[in-house]
Amino acid sequence: MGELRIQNLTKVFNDDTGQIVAVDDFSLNTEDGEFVVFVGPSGCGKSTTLRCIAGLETVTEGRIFLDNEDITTQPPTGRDIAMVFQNYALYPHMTAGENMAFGLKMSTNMPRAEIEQQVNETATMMGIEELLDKRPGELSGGQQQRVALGRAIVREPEVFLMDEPLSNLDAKLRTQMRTELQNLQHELDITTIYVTHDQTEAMTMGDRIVILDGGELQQVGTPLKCYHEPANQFVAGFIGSPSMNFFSMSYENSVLQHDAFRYELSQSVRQNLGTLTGDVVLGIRPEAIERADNGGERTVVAPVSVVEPMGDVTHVYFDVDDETYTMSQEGDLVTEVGSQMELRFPEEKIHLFDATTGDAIKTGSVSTRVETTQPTDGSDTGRP
Amino acid sequence: MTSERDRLTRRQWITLMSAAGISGLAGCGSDGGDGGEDGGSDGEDGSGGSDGDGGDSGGESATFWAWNDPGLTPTREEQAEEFASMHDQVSEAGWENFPFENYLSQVTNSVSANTAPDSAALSVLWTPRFIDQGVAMDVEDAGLNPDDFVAAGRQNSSYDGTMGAVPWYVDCRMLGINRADFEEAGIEVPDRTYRPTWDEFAGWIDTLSSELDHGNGFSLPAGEGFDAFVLSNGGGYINDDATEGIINNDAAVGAAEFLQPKVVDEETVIARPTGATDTGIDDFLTGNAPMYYAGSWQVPRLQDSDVDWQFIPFPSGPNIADDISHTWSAGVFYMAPTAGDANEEIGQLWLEYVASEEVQARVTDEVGGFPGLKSAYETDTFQQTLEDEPRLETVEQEIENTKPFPSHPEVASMWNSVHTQAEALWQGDDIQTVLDQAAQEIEDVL
Amino acid sequence: MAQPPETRREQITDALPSFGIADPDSNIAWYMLIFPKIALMAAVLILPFLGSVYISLHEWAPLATSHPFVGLENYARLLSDSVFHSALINTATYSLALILIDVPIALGLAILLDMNLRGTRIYSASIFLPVVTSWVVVSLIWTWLYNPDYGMINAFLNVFGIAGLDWLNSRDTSLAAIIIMSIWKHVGFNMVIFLAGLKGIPDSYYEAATVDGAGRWERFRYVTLPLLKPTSFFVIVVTLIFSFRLFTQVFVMTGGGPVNSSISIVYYFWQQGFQEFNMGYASAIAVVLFVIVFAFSIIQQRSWGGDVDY
Repeated sequence: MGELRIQNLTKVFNDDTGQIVAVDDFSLNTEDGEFVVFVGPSGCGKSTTLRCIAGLETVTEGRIFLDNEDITTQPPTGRDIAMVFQNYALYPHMTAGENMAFGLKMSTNMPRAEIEQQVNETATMMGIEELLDKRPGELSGGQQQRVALGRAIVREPEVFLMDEPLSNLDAKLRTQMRTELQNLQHELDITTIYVTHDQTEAMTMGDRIVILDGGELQQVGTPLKCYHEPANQFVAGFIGSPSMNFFSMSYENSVLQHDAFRYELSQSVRQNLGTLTGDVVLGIRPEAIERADNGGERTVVAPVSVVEPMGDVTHVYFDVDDETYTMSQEGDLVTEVGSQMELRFPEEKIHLFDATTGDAIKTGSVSTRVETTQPTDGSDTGRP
Repeated sequence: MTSERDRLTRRQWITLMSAAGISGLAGCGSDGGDGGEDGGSDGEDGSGGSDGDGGDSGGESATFWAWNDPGLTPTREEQAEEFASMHDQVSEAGWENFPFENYLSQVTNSVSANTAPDSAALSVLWTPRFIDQGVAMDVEDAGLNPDDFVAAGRQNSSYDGTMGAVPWYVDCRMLGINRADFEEAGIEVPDRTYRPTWDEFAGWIDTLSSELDHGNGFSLPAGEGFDAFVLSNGGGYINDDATEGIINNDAAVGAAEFLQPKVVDEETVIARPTGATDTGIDDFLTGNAPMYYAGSWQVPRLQDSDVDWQFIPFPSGPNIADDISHTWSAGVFYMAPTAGDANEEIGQLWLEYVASEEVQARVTDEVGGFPGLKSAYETDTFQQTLEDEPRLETVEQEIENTKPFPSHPEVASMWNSVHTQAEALWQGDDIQTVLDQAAQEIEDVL
Repeated sequence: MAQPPETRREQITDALPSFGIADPDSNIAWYMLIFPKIALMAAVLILPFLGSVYISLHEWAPLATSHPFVGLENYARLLSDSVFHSALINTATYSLALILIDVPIALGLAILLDMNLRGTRIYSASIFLPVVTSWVVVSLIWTWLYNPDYGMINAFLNVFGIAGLDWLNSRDTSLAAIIIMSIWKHVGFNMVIFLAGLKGIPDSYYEAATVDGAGRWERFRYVTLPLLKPTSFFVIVVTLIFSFRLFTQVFVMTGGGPVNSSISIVYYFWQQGFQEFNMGYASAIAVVLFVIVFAFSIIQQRSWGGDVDY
């Protein structure tokens, strides 16, 4: 079983200039067989968290449990964990087969023949049996990637840790491997912690995604939940491409006021906001912005600065009060640069964030639209 | 040529080049520091002047070579100056000094490379070689009479009937003794001309080593010191007609049997190996040895020390007929090359100058050696020097009892062989075996 | 390993001619590039070497008017020359001692320093300092250290009640004394090369091995050692070549003695050539030395770049 439980994990690095808090009070429970993606910008602490789980870094505070066993102070060798590294870290002096066998040789008392058999089985499953006698230097990036995965898989660990395993591949191969990796994980049903800075990977691969920033946990949830109901402005901006548009507004007398436009809120939303007044941030995703033809409420008129046709969609950049914002429209609509555009921000799709804390005040009303094929999770608040 | 073959060649080239480069580094690396092994390049600029580019002053510049000897350098500089001022045809005269280890090869190379100096200082071990090669000026051609020189000095600078160098000074070996140590050990300090027997000498060693804290009685150089005992027991390197090595005869074996237990078992005699930084005089001056194998050229250094020193003649062995001990005669000799583009006229003038009574008479005062020229001993200058330093009395007496080195071009090889084997004696090896080996090596070069 | 090193090296050579030449098939540029080096080599190495070979076939005294041809007599003499045998054995012993003692110590020190412990910089500097010091100076200093009467080494040994040795003046210890001093002097050089090799091993291999369950020793055995193989090979061959140059220490400290117990090939060569002026014989020694070192170099060249690449 691979139930990984992290309690209040804190990692502080000491260096000449002082202390750097890499991970700050991080907690997470995973279920057996779950695919969890850690995502965040570089330096957010996701890799450090992963290395703490692997035992490559000591934990400053907090505890890590694997199947209810406290492994916090156990050496890496004592944890039933396999890891795939960003640069694969295949031993260059060993053949692919020896690379895969190394972990079994080191961590088990398995006889040589059995190791060999297990390596062969895994290699067959991975489709790399003809590579077993080659050295890493003779393999392509994709092949190395497979061997690196094979090396982790062959040990049948409780938990897989993957540190940006696809980032050294070219774009096309990456997409392909993404799918393969997902299938493999489903097949093996081994708990997987996957670290990436690429929100697309996070969205497409994870059962749940864990978003980190500055060492702090921002949100844990299914990809769609994080997309539609971001817990704060950071998550809202980080998840989704192109990024969510943010407008600085002030909320007074039931009206959101921007320097360039005003936005009236409906009765029901106003009720939800209660007695709130002052600065807020209005967020709306590019794909939620609609074209309006004849004015009306909740519209903005703005000049088009750049048009990026992507084929299926077109990204249109427009300026409001010297700031550039984005909207996505269907690919067959033509928009001229320089033309004036009338845009509507549908109220059910806008997000409101506290301007100081960044916490979400109102999220898009989408819960009704989420198709519940995903397993429901119980920890969507992010903070225990 | 196919391109495939071409590539192979290139690869081989590169391999070969790099390999050669690396081995070149190994083989040719002079490894810094000691420098100057590389041919006569250093000397070339020094001797350039002898080719006659002296120019308007009407004379030529003279170049003389010597090995580094700080004790001799000031005197040499003064002499060069005096020499240049004496002769119109010499505009100026200067010295090039080389490390002793490289000096012989420098001189040898300069002669074959036509960069020879007008005169070169030579050690006694080297003169026969140059005479044998026919590149040393016969002193008779320079108008000098071999009979005018003291016997040992003449023989050391002669080979095969030709005297090819002029002894600037000659020297002898004696015992240096520390009078204070003798008194402390309760031994009566012997007279300066008193020659002890080996038995007496052995008694001193025993008494001194047991009475003095350091436990040493005598310090000698491992190789040359052995030679001295062989000579003072009537032995030598080769027989008179230079047909066989006699370093394994009874006289030599007796010397080894006398010394070996003192060095190896009793450890009352220090045998300083050739490569060692400390020599006998260091042991003597630092109070580590009350007696040492002393050379007459060390007088200035002894005079500068705080030690209450004096010389006595080397002890005479039981094997010797007339009870008179002998030691090597050596000294510094000047040769004028007759090859290698040296200026022979200047060379001849220099030999005349060195052999002159004025120069010879001053040599004891200036550098501590004794004159090579017989008549210099009668001069007032020399007599005055003896009066000023009465302890030279021993030297004056012993200079008569020195032995010249074997007159043979390979005398340096013999020297090396005997001294290498002598080291084996002090390691406790079997005496007869060691000396037979030395004799064999001598005969190999005869 | 499917692709033999031969093939790979050919690819590299293949790329050479294309440097800045209009016609990549042209050989002229290749020869132009290689010519200055060849010319230099010829002038400073190959011609003198051929000269040595020539002289070694003669009885050659520098000032002699004739140099009689003696064929291989000088080489034949080497075969029965006990001093040359001593020189050969001493040099080989020195060489072997350096490989067996110097190299492992250097590796150990490099590993210690690679751990980034406190004061690493000071330690590495102090270990490397002897390397940049003159051999002559170091030899002189150690001659004093070895002095049986007032040397620090015997004084140190006496503290522990160990009787001091007559280091340089005894046949039994003179070569050992030179070896000890040379290791002290040289170990920093190898250490720095090892250190560079260690620094070149990415941390991720160690991390991968750690996660794979390898302990400290196993990481050293299965990761460090194999990945250091090219470095170790380089160190060993360079040390081997270096060790055959043994001269300065012998020259300064022992003069080859006592009784040739510390004589080296180069020292004997120098003695024969520049003390006794048996140039023909000395040249034969030089040629033999060259052949030995050349063989090592070829081994090094042959094995270079093969096996491990990462």
